[in-house]
Amino acid sequence: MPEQSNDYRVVVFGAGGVGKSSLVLRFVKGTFRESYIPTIEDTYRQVISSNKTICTLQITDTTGSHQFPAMQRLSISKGHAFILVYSVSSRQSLEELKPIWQTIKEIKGAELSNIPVMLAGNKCDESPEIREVSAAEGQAQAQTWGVSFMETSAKTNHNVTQLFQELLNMEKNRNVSLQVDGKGKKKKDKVVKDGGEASASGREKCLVM
Amino acid sequence: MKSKVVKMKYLPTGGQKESYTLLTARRRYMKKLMRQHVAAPWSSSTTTGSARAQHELFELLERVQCSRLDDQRAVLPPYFSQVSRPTDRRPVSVGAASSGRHSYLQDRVPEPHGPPSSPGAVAAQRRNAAACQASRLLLEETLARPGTPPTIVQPPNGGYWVEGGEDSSVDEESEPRPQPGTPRQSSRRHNIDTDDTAKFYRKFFFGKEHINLVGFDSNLGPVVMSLKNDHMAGQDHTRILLRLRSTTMHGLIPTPNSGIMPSPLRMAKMVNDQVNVDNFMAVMCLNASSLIAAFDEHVLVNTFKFGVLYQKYGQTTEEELFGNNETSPAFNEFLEILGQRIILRDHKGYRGGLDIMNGHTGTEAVYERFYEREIMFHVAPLLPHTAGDAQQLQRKRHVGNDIVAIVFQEKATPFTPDMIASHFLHAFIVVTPVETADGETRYKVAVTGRHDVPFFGPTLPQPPIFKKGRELKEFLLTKLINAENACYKAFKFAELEQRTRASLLQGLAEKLKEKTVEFLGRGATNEPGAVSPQPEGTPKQEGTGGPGSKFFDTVRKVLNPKVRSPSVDTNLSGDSSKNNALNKKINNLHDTPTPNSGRSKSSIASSSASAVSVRSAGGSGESSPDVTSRVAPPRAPLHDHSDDSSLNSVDLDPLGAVYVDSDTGLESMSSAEAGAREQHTTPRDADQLRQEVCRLKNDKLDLLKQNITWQNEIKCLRERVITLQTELTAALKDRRHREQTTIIPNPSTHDSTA
Repeated sequence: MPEQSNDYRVVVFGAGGVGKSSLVLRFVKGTFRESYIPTIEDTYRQVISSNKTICTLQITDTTGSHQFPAMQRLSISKGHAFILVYSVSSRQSLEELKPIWQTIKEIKGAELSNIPVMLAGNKCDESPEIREVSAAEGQAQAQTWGVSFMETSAKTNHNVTQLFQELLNMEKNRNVSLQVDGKGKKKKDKVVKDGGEASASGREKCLVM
Repeated sequence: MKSKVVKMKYLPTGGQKESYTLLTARRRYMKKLMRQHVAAPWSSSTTTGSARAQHELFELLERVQCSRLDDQRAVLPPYFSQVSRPTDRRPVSVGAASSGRHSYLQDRVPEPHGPPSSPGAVAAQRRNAAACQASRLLLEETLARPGTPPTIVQPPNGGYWVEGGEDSSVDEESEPRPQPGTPRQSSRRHNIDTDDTAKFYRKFFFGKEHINLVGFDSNLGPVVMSLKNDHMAGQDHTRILLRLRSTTMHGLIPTPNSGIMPSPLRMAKMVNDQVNVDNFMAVMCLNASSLIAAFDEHVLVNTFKFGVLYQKYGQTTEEELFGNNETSPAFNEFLEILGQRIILRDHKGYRGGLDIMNGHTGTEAVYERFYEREIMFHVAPLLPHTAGDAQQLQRKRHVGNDIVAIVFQEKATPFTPDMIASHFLHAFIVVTPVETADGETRYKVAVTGRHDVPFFGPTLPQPPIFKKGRELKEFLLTKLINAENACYKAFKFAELEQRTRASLLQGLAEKLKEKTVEFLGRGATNEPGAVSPQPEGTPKQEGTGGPGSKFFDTVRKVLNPKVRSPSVDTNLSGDSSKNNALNKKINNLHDTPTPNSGRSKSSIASSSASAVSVRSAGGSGESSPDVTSRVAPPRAPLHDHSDDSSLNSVDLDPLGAVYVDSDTGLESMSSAEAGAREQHTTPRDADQLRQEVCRLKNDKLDLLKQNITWQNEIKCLRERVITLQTELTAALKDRRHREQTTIIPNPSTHDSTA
């Protein structure tokens, strides 16, 4: 799939099994799959608005294994925004984000301050006895890195759209928004309310592979 | 059941026949589930029949959605997924002991066939799901048959090749013949397949005298070529590394006896005749070698991670495989063959994604160094077991992300490669301990891989039985490494690698070109090393060559003042003068006669004052003939350089803007005539100088032509000056005359004045 210059590229990183694919699938399709099938790399496209015109939101769902460092570096250098996902039920998954963050810092350098980055603690629906990372710790880690933070659950569809919405809101160079009518970024409320139905209908525009 | 049938009828694109197959398959599977009910603790979470039916319906729905690639092609109607979910989750999660971590047994699609086409996506999806089910059934049937089961059972729809696994009639009692694999291994150090092309640059070129060239082919994209002279077999050869988007090619071409080197393009064509580059540029930047070596070597891998699974007799699902906690002494014995048992906390080498700080991935693992490669084994039973997690995420997230895995069987039982749902796993080596009469441990080995994975050696001996020992280790580790390298050629991985490679090569070519241009400045386009003609930067052969390009060069130079061409006159200094030069260019004398003439008048007047000896054509190849349009600025930067950066402005569109220029006036013309030439910079090499001389000669011709034009112009202006002066004198006379006439009426004063 050829890349357009007005694509807005969001890349999702994280350790294996934290729920990257689930988050992206939940956002793009509204579906959730319980079974875990390790991803190599998948890319999804969705039409969004940018500066009152149409552009394509391209979401790259990457592998959790460290199999292809060159490919990872390439994704980072081409990405416009990043989502770093860990699982609240696995402390190690938060640890594994550190080298990824280092690489992003290294590749992006001075531009980093202009790049939207979100730290997402997924699987927040897990019961407290399973949880290994508290929300406070996640927030603290995000603050250390200077990025935003949100706890999500792809399974219960908690904060999934908000995650992407917030990420787009952070983009300063252009006015990217999930609402294609260009009415701006303040459509959060409408989408939050029904936790799924409206988001599905509001988001499912042409999904081009 | 009935309700389930009814519901299934409404599934989109669902044919009656398909649902029937699924239905019967479901029934049989459920029977099997009940059989295994005791063995599978997690299944107790859904106890009621109706809940299970619902459960399985939802599984089916899930399965329909589970292939990601298909999801991307066909959007499921929202109601389809939404309806099931709310009712689905709640009863399950309430009843579950494992806080919602369920796995739907049947919903995985390992996709050995690659993505189905979009119109039939959902139907194909269900066909795949049915295929998984079918292969599991096949496993069970195989188990049900008497006799020793084959090691590997191919999925009924195929998609995998098998080496050595199907022959279940191996006579295990007989002494295995000396393994054909071993003599070959003993003669060579190892049989690891390596792609040495990636190492050639560092081996042959790096640190030695060679040439790098970069170009762009309209069809093939960026081209980066390295050339070097090698003397071999008593003759000179040119060693060529030709890097294209698709691949890197290596060639060794004997140098013709005449000593005349073919052009870079011709040499490239000898390696790959599809190449068509008309603008090879010599790379001139100091760290080019490192950049090129880094590109070449980005494919080299020295660290590997392989999964190791334990399969007990009769296990036919991935949950069972990942759920195994107790193994057997035979398994530990086998692990010792593979490598060293290490404590993760103390481990210093390659960790393959395992945690060496906090023990989150277990305390021990198996690791080995093998011919300068590091191998980490993800041994499932050594990874943490999570009670109540059917998928054993903590284990699958390592093994499931490996490309090659070993399956060690407790005893002969069938294994089918699509048992584990993962986009990564492409090849398996299945090892089964074999009992022998003499009590010695032997192992039967079988190999299977996805259909798009090419065969990898070393070949299995016949019969594929190994004694425990060094040869088995060598064989297995070599086979594993070759397996991974072969898997990189499978469709999914090759596609990604191609994309990465194309991107990296584009970046490399651009960077090399950019750095060369930055370094050499204007000279880059008329690069000294270029053999092929340059359309854009051609030295003006007949004086008509690329004025446009020269303009760009000059503009670039003006705007990038730190860049100097080798032939730049020493008198060059400062930006201001360059800007003046630019202004000069823009100022076209022809089209702004009035202001210019006005100015030129003053310029002529001040020319003597202005010491701008703007020596013209002179030293640089690009001196401007546009000399007379310059006006001496009050501050008069007295530099010659303004010439060399100015262009042949004849073809320039006048911008009409009026700028104050440094005056070159008459002096420049005379100096142009004089043909003063200054070339100050240290000559680089003879070729470059020769080219410079050519260029300068051409420029001189041009400038002389322009000279004539300007001289005519000057003549006109002079005439005008004269006329104006005469007018002025006349006017003055008139005034005096008028003054005198006014005084006349007073005769007394007249006498006194006279």
